[in-house]
Amino acid sequence: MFSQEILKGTIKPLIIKLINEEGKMYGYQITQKVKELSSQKIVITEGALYPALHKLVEEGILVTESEWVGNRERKYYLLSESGKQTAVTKLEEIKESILMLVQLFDLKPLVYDVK
Amino acid sequence: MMLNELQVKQVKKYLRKNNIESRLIFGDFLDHICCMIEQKISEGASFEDSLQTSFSQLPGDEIKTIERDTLKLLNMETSFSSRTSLLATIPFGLFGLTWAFANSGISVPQLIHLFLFWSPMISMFVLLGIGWIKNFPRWSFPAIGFCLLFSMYLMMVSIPGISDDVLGMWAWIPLLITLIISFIFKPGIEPIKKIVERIKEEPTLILFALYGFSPLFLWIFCDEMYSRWMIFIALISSLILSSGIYLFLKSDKKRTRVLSIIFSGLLAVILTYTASHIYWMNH
Repeated sequence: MFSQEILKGTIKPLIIKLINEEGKMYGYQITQKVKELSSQKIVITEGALYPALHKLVEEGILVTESEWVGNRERKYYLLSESGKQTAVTKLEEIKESILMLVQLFDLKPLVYDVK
Repeated sequence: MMLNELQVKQVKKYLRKNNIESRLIFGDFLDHICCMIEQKISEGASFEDSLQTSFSQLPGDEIKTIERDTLKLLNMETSFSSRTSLLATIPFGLFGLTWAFANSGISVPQLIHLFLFWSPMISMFVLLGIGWIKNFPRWSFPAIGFCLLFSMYLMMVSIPGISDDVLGMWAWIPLLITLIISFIFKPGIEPIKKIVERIKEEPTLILFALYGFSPLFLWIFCDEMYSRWMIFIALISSLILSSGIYLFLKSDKKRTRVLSIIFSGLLAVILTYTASHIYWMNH
């Protein structure tokens, strides 16, 4: 499992990416999806997830939608109209920075080796 | 399998017991914990076991820390450091000094008299301006209440030398100037939106805003009472009112916050009322 420190800067773009793909998601679903996609190697803690989600709502990138599920209200997070534009930019930005990190840490040969 | 009403109530009870007050966080974690429990039940565990495991995986103090972090990130904190809480009591302290000197019968040089008279009012308007620039954190709420009520009060006041008539709409000029200056530093209506948001999140903030007028109210109550021992009454009442502000800003429990301003307000009123009653009995 990776440390939260390493993942810190990628949580927001990761949330945006997942919501962009799924249309709308709720908190627990995001944690499970990340676990599933990373083969249990990445666990987003609630302490990292919810502050990030609320900050994205405050920034106007996400909006919320509530639905009654059984006996409780569930809050779905989805991209706002302006958030859809931001998503593209943010995802490009994170891709570029990851590529830069790959270059900086000299990881390319390893990637080729695996292939 | 979805949790039934009774089972959901147990999760709600857990969150309430752990003092989760923010509607945002409460809703998120209610669903989150319910999902955790449902997941465990679907894997074959009993409800009771799933409930206990989920609670141990998400202890109350951890959720409370998440709530605190989230609110801080959104500039919606409910509790502040001792330093911030103490700083917020400065205008109340100044009111105490003004009130003490004005009713003590001690004559002070004109300059000190002017400083004592204007400094609490000005400090409240300054606090309002800073509050606007910082999107009205809780510590600026007493200034909102004060400036509004003070302007309303001033409408009914006449200032000899300026006008024999009551000030009327002119009384709103200081507030208007403060708002214009604040607007120059931070244009837009975001601060107003934040006030609405904060009051929606905790309606008792209205009470806290009105509390800002309490020192001036008590001072007006003691109008024309001149005695040396009024210094002590004024200082003690102001100290009580200041401690109400301090506790309101320091506490992360809604009940403590509300009780602190109700009790300190009542105590200061009782003290002042008793003092004025004794004074007028002897005069």
